Amino acid sequence: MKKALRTLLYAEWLNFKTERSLLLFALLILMAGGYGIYSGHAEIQRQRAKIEHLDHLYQENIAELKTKYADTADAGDIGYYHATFARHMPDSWAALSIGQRDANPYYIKLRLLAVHNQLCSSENTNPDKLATGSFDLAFVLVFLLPLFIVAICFNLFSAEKERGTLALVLSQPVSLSTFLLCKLLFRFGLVMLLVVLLTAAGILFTGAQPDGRVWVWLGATTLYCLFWFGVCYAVIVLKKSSAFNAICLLGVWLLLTIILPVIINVASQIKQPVTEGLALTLKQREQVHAGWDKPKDETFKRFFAHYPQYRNTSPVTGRFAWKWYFAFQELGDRSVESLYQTYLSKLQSRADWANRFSVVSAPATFQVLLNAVGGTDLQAHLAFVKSARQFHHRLKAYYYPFLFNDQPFRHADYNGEPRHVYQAKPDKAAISMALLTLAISTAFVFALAFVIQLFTNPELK
Amino acid sequence: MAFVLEAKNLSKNYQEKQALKPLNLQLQPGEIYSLLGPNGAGKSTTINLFLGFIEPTGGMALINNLEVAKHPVEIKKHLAYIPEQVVLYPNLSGFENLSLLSSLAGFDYRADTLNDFLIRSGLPSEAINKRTGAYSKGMRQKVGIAAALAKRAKVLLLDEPTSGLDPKASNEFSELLLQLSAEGTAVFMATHDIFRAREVSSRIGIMKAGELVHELSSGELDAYELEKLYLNYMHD
Repeated sequence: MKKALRTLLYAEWLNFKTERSLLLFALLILMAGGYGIYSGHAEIQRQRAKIEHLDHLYQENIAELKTKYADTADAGDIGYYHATFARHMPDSWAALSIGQRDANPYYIKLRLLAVHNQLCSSENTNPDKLATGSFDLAFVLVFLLPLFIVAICFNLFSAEKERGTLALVLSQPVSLSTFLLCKLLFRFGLVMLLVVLLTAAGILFTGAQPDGRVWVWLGATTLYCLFWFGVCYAVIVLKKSSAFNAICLLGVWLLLTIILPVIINVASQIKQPVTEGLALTLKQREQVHAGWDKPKDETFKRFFAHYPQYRNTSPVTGRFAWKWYFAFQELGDRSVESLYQTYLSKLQSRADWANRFSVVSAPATFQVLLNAVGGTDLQAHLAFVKSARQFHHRLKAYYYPFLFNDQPFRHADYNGEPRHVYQAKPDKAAISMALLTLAISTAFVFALAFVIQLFTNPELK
Repeated sequence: MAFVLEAKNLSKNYQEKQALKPLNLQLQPGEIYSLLGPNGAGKSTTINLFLGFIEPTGGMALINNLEVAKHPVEIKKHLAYIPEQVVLYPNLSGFENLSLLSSLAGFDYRADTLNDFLIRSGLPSEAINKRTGAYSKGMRQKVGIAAALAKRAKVLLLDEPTSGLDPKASNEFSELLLQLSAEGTAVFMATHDIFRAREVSSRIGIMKAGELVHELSSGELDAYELEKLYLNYMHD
């Protein structure tokens, strides 16, 4: 058995190295992977550079304000005109799986004004570009690698039968299952070689931290490849023609990588509609604008209920005062608080719903897993938004004493202003869940293949 | 004497069609048995049953006293098979193909021994290291023969081995069969070639519609009489 395995593996190698089309395809996958790594790295580098440039903009803004306002400025002027930033720093693995980092904002410009509108606004991006997604290593592994597996496996049995070499080999003391196992093993080895090469190149080129995630990434990719080998095996054991196998496997690829994920996405939007985003923006806007027309006493009464420490602040006598302006901004935020919490929880529910149903599509599960490894999934974005909101609270905590205690804001006070950087982290819970789902999908597809094999005519002629 | 190939009430049905009616047959070491019959008579079905490529509906096929259906891998250590069209891996040379097949059979031959097998089977020495994709049918047949020689099998199964071979190659093939027979290999051959069958066989069977309708020793009739007998059965 061992000798037969060795011999068949060697024969596979001899055949493979003379098969130019397969060599070319393997080379194309390597090139696509290489470009994916480069492209992902370039995108993340661009984001890093932009985030670093925010410091420059921030300092520039302070310099302008220092010129415009004297050393004893009204904190309201500063709070209104001074822009600071919440920054979402990418994880070192983000370049390998960009995930939602190209669709969601990775920095938010924040002023002391009502926060919810600011959290929801971001720079415009070309929707056509977003629709096609990013070309990163994850894209190559999720979408292209299965095609390579299909290309090297679809005729694994049928070609031998159609060519006539099967009879000659099986007239030797080798069983059909050993023969198929060797062919699958060789191809699996080849695919894993490409995976290891691309992963190593990705880690080295992008500077990804070589921590435990190397094993998670390789383990998940191995499971994913096994899943596709299982799919190929299930079709191969039907013992149909090469043409049938090719069409069938391409159909499965199309179904699992494109059709099902689109259906899940659309269904999640119908099943879990999130309408609160627009509603809270409108409500907050109405509340803030209505603040101009409401009696100042009423505004302050409601404001002091939340900030009793400023109850003894000097009264506003004139037509306008910054503390009155920021008080109704604050009340605008508070009026949509429950709506905002509903908005966040619905976003989360929609993502949970989609993730739960992605169990039917191993590519979708694998993509979720790689994004979780890179800290580029929806969870990472929501955590960043939550952190940005907390940062806004810290800003208010810094500025409100100046505003409501009528303290002058000095140039030196800029130095005490809180700063924000949120460091993306891998989503461990999502990783564990996706790994489990992927393992179950792989086991299921192999069980299905064995059942098919059991009920398929074992005869070779 | 022990039989190296045996059929005991061996039969095969495909749904309603009886491809092979119960067949009883024994071959001793060194015997050459030719099975004559038109296309669809059941000759290839019989060979496929001995190879374990298909499962019998009834009875059993035995190779070296082992039941084929129960020992599908083990029995292949004792038999070699040359199909009508020997198809080799086209990207590998004749030498590499033989090396693969003999390794699978469990033999570790040195390169010069493998070359000897190829030369003994009649493959020109300059073709040994060329890709078999460029080989003629006769050359591929010779690699198949070399694989059978290298396997030192007790039974050689041949399915229309001389079909498409030129007279010289066909004659060389006959000589090789006689040589193998003298060394103790039993040969079971399905063929249309009445002349060649009579020349090399010790026994001949005539098969029609899945049934062995006549069996004779090759010395009983000359080629002309054998052909007449065969045609009589076919016209019935």
